[in-house]
Amino acid sequence: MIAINTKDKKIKIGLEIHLQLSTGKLFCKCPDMNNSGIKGKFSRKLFPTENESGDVDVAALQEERKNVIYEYEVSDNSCLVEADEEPPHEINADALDTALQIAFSFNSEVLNAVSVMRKVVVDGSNTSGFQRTAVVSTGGYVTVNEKKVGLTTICIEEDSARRVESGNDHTVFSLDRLGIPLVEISTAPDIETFQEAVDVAREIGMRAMLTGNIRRDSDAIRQDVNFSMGYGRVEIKGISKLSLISEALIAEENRQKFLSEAIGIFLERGGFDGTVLIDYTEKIAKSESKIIQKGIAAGNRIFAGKLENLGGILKSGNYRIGKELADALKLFSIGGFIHSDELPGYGITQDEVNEIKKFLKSRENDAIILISIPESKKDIAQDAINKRVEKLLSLDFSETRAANEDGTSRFLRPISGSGRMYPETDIPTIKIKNSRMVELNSAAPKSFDQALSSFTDEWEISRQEAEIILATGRKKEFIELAKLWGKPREMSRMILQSIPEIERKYRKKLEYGDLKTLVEKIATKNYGRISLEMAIDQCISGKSIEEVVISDDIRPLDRNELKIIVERIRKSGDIRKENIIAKVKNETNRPVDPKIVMEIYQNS
Amino acid sequence: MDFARGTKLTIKYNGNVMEVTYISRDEDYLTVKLQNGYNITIPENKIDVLKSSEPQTVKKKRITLKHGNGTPISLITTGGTIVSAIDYETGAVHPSTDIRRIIDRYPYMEEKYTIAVREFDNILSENMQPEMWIKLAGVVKEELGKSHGVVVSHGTDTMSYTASALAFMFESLTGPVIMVGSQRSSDRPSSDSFGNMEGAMAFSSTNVGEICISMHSGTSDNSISLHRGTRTRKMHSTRRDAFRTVSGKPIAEFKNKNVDFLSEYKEKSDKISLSDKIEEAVSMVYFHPGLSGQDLEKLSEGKRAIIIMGTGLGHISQSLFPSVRKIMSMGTKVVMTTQCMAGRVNLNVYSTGRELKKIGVVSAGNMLPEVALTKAMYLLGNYPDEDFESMMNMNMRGEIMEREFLGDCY
Ligand SMILES: [Zn+2]
Repeated sequence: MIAINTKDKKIKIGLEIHLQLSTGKLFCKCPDMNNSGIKGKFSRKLFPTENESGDVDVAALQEERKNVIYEYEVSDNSCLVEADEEPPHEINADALDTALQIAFSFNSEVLNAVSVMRKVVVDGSNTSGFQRTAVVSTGGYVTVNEKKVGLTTICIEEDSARRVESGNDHTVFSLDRLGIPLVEISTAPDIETFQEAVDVAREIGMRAMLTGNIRRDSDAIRQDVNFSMGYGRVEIKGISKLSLISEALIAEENRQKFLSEAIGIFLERGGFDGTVLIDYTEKIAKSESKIIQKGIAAGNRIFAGKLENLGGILKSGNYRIGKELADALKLFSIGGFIHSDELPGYGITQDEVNEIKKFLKSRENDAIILISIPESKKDIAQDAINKRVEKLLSLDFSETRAANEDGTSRFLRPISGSGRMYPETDIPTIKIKNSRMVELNSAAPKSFDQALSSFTDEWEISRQEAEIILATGRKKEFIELAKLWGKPREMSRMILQSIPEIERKYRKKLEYGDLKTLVEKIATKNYGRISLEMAIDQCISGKSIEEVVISDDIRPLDRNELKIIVERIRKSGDIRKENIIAKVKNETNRPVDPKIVMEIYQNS
Repeated sequence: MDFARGTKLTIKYNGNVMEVTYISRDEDYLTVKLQNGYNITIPENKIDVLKSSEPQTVKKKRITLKHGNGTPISLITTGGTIVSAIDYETGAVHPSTDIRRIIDRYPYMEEKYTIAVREFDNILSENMQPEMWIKLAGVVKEELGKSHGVVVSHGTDTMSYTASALAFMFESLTGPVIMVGSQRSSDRPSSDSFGNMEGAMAFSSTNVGEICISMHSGTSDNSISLHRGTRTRKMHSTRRDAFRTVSGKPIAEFKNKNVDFLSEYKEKSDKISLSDKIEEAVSMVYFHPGLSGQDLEKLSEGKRAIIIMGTGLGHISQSLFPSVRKIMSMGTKVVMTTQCMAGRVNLNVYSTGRELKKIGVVSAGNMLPEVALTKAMYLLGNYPDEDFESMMNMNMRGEIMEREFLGDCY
């Protein structure tokens, strides 16, 4: 066996952290929040623009070969810009400021001018066929566990459309996410351990949260991981949870380790010259295999092919070359294939297997495959398999993969060349004034601790509460609500304890907009904390804000009303200083001010 | 620091040494492309150039101007571009008239058409002038002599002016003349130009004998509409489906590689007839409250006809009547259209209208104002003055619709 020592390979990890901003969309006036369902649908095709040097970008070409019609669902928070029916408006100044502030907080060198580029993306996730993106700063660093990890660039860009459905020849996207500003923070490949990757991602996320402009949706923060252990750079896209970063890395390390071992065996046996798919439909037409029969009924042909020297490593033990080939086929909407490591099986008998082997003149170490596809897809399938095997043989595993929910990942496309960007001519270069730079720099938090201290001092809330508010990105909301309410401490407790409790009770969330309206209205009525909590409770339970606010239930009992209740209790007998409050509360569901009750009791 | 675009530079910026490609310079700022494809713009005084190497000159690629083996179609380009290529090294976009690049996108076209490109002129749509219509008409005639049909690529801004001018100049045609444009330029993957062109090719191989416009039916890429050149208006500045047949249905629709006819049209004829004189001394006035008689007279000076876009049924302020009389006494024709998006002018309903009629203002029916303009230019160029009013009122090329129906676009 050709020795491949994975221990000698040094692991290098780089991160790209994407943070959605809550400032409204980047190049139009649409809000980043979507409030309603589908308002309409349309469909488009995308044609990759030819590269001057003759070749269309690799990744773009691969998408084109898929020949897909893209369908788009129009959301409430989209306009002609997202539909690619109108050029972009000027860049959202709040979003740009936030990106610059983040850049300053990581000591990244902010550029004096921002040039927006078009990055060609023809998988349908951008209606225009490109993503608008711009570098705002270069360099910088983040310190984690006393180690400096370098940053390469910080960019501001538009988020892509959300994939709703992927079918054979059609894919559906929603426009709700398209155009939401993203700040992309890229680190150098300085990270050496999986835990370090998690720590760096967490630190970057927390620091950015301090701007108060990061969205709090479940997929508002997404991580891409660049990983290499000596077989080329693999990019794993779209890891939505911090906890999945190390799982994804462990899975990838194992994949590459076992893959390189399997390829070692394959190479030692002598590699292969490429497979040729042969129409085997007639010969297997009588098989009882459901896959075969279903395929024939659907008008497919059944093709057989020999994979030289790949027997026993397509799927056995830790070796999974079969999955690599299946992933490559999936890209062309080919559901998969059956190979000899799984046979007999799928209703195909040993006799049938032997017959195919004989037919293909298969030797001991060879594998055979069966694949059910329309005649028209034969060349594509054959090509996809051969290209994939060639690539694996070169021990260059570089590619772009997509993260799965379970920590594993799947092949997405080849790594895109760098040459797929050109200037966005609809947006002139944005020059940034020095005075604005100075202002944003001084406002940028240089560390989480520093930000925490000044926040705690300013609002006179506990450090613990302040930390939660900052780390969960609720700074802006808190300040807004605290100002409306006038009592910051009450408000922080409300946000961190009372509201989550009520939300748990009804298993329903209260929209921030609704909360703000409630706080504002109840504050102007001069009702207290209990009234607000009752109002929130009623609102979450399903009542409309208008209804709740004018309802008598949340109005605190006034002095006269309390007097009547106290008198009534007094007549009924046992009344003491110790039980008066509880007794009054027993008599009513409305808010009661204990101070007034005490006064009435003592003065009568 | 001046370099040729595309020069490879090794620079020191912010303490880092980087390999970049020089793009451009604007005052004290340089724009360079980083290796990851991004352009960054940085002040010149923050950069040290350590090394530079001249850009490699790009081989000029051969352009194919004729391709395919099927129905012969001529493609006349007026915008200098039907496709674009991008030099990702420098970010430059290169317009091209290479027909292969269209056919590569629709391989089935290769068997269906033989497309020959004729480069007419490279002008922006807004710079199109009446004299160009005359030249273009000549080229159309020439190309129709060689082909089954003609496709004319044209900027969208003045496309319907050119279409209606050509429509009047050609009394009969030996094949379809289909104008096509795009609302999203062809350097974008989402460009509508490819779909519009695919439709135009299909329309140009039918038996239509009119000047038409081929553009998206809706925002989706699944349907292309064929509009009559004399009834079409660009109704939106940016949308793909900006072009609409006003007060009627499109002539045809192209869907799933098929042409479906939706309304009547004039078939192609055995002979071509072209009257290519155009009177340029015709102008248009948009009436608005506050428009003074002096303004109106100035705009009419030296004109043989003036098209007024009046309000509603075709009205202008009574204070302008003396000026209208004066203009007409100098021999200038005054034509009344409406500034409403659609509908007919009618000078009989209100006294203002009746008076205008009495003065001798010509009513343009439901002709679109811009069509009334090209028609007046055509009539004054080719027919005696005394026929002007009667011919203005005559439906010559489908420009006047005698009947409008509920449910049609307006
Ligand atoms: Zn929008």
